[in-house]
Amino acid sequence: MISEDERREVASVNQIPARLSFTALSKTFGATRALNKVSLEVLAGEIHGLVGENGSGKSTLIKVLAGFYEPDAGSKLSIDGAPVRLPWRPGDSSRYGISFVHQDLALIPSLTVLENLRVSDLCLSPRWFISWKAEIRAAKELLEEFDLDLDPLMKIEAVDIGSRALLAILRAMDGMRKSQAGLRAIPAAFNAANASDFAGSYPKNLGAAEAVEQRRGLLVLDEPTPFLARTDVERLFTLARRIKAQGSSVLFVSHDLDEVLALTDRVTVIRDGTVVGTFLSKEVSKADLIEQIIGHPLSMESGNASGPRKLPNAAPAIAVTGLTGEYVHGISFEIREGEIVGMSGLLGSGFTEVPSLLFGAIQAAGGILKIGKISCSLTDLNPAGAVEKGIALIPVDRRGEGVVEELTIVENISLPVLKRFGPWRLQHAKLKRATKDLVRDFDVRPADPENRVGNLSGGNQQKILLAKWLQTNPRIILLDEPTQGVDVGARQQIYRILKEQAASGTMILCASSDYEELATLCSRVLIFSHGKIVEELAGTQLTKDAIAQRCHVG
Amino acid sequence: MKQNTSSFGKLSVQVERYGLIGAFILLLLVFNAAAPGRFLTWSNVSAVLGSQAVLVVLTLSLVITLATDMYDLSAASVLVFCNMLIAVLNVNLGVPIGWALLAALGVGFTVGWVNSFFIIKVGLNSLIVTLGVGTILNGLTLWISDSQTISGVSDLLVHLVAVYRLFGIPFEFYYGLITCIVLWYVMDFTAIGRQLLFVGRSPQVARLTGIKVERVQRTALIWAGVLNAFAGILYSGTTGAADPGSGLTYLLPGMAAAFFGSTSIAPGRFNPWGSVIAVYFLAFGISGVTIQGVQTFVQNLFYGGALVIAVTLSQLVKRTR
Repeated sequence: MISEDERREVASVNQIPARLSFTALSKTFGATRALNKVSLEVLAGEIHGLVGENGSGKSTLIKVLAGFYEPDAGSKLSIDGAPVRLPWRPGDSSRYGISFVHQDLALIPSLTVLENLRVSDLCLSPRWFISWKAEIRAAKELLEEFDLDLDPLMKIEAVDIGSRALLAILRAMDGMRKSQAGLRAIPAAFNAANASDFAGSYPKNLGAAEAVEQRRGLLVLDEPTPFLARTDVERLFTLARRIKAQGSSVLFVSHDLDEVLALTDRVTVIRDGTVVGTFLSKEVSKADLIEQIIGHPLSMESGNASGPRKLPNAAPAIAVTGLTGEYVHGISFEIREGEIVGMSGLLGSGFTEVPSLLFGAIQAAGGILKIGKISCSLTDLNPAGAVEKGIALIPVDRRGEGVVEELTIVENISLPVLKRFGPWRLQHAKLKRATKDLVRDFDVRPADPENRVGNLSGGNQQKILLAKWLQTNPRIILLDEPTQGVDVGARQQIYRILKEQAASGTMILCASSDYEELATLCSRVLIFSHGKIVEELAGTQLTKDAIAQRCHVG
Repeated sequence: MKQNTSSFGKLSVQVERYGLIGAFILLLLVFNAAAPGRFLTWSNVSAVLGSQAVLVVLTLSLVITLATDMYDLSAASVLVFCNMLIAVLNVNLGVPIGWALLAALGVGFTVGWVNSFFIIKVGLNSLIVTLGVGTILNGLTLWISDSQTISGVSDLLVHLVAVYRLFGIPFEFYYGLITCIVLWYVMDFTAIGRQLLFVGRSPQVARLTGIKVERVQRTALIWAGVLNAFAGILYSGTTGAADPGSGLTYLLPGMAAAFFGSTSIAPGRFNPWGSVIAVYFLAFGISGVTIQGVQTFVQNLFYGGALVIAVTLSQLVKRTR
């Protein structure tokens, strides 16, 4: 492990001010402090890793850098040694040569490679005439420079996912270069002064202008790899290293510690909104990093604080074999009657896809679902068929797929059971009474059945969804991040409801990236990596830390 | 929500819900005062009530498709084509009127099915599909009629639609009223109505609840087509003739009324009663200014303005929710 002193030493070798330096960066949301006096330095010509658990403050930091969040007073940022006035507006960062590639890549599939590469230029330039010939030539040069074999006139939807990621990086890179031209003009006085300062101390005796040139740009890669295949990850690394070789810096945000250790020069660990430390990548081990990320040392047999959990003895009541989708490849597992089985893994490992596949909400490419003695092919399953089989899905996108916010609680809750209120006409009074009972049982607040669901908090909306499905007495409940955006109180109520439901014999599958939730709720947790189940945790092994550790080991 | 349904909140809900009816009554009183003894006479009232039945039925068809989040721009074209088909079959070819009416309903069904094929199976935008299908129907209308007006449609139909009266109002008014009641029943008191509502609001939520979304959408389009054909039948009975153009102008007032209707009775939702009230609100408004001696171009100003205002209002209603 590297101490703070050693880190300073590393920095001082270069004698060049850090490309990016945050000091005392804090960000408070209401009562929660997402970032607490964070210091982060990305040196010139360095690939710097940023790692931490979900909710550790990583993405808040990136959003502050991008100008989406305004940091608290007292936070300081300097770029190439010059203090920058905070907060800055979205877009300001690009003026300082900082470019972002986010996970969704922000490419428009129906447009061509060329149009995507040049989108900001084409849309924002005040030119009267676009010379497509010149544009194509420039795009070709850029693609060739980085050995990307793509036709500029090809549509993005025809480009493989790996090349798309590279393309997004190239675009960011191009934007970075363009902003350098502009940057030279803006703080010209400062740059000139500074450049001559270093000229003497710069190790390779480069001229001042060249030194300036070499110091430019920071590329932020915000989890670009989870959906990429191994070979594409390699290509991405090669590109990142070439960008570094040209003198730019890269900030690489990732969950995958192997990747971080392979690519970066140094890595900063952030936990609970504070920086735990910055380490030299070639001197830190993966185990050390995991320990830093989750906060304390891990032994493989770490005890379970809540005591061993008894596994239900019943025979498996559902069996899934060979389930294949876009992100999962031929996985098989069983759930016993009355069991709550958890699924977890890193982003992109495929576990989030499983509930939707088992419900037919996403078409599976293969797999058999066996409920009791009845088998059905998952490729033919659709949601209507799943509901008939007694399967219920509570989707992660509550507001887009779970409830209709502008409709009332009665309307939302009663949708799957309207037949009970027939036969000739819907008995609205009876419907309202039944809903009233349900919202009381599930402690929805406020308990007015005529209230629009959009007026409720996330936790209460989730209770509405549970009530909607539990009244149908499902055999299997599929949950996708069941307490995302749910407050602590409602969370406990939801856990209690689910445990009661399981105790009455219902089978529950819970995909979640909240390790504490899985440890509280589940009798077994399946760990996913690269579309496969790599480990099963049960009994005394089933702790929050163990899940975290297994997820990162992959 | 007990804590914030203050008496003011309740009042504003009621104003929103019955505002159109209040405005309607105000409009009647104002025009009556402006033309005493000419506007609110039984003959004028019953004439307006009867003559708008075609528009009522067409508007109700639009309510179905709009509630399912689709636009049916072929509605008036179906009406005109069915009108012409009845005239050609009954007058030119001597087909008994009963068969001619059945053929018209069959056309409505078929057009609904064709629309649904392209919108649901192929996955095209409803606006484009129905615009194209409507234009094809307009062409077919001109073709089968040789671009001529045909008169002399079955007396029986004319009598059953426009001549026979109950309480002094032509039968066709009651046909529109019955259609409204049936649609109200289906939309508000059956599971199908609820499915329609959810499919229109969020196909994804509907699908994940186990509703067969495509089937609901197809059913909506087909019934809308049948209602359009029914409007064509009433139009044949009202005019006793068929001409290839004039019925097409019903589309815009229909849209205006459907959107206007969605701001009242059940604010924020396309609903049958609100739409029917809106049809008559607009019709009496036009009748009132016409009696004042204003020229007929006012009709376009009125309906066009009403459409824009109605859509604006319905957006405002949605935004406050």
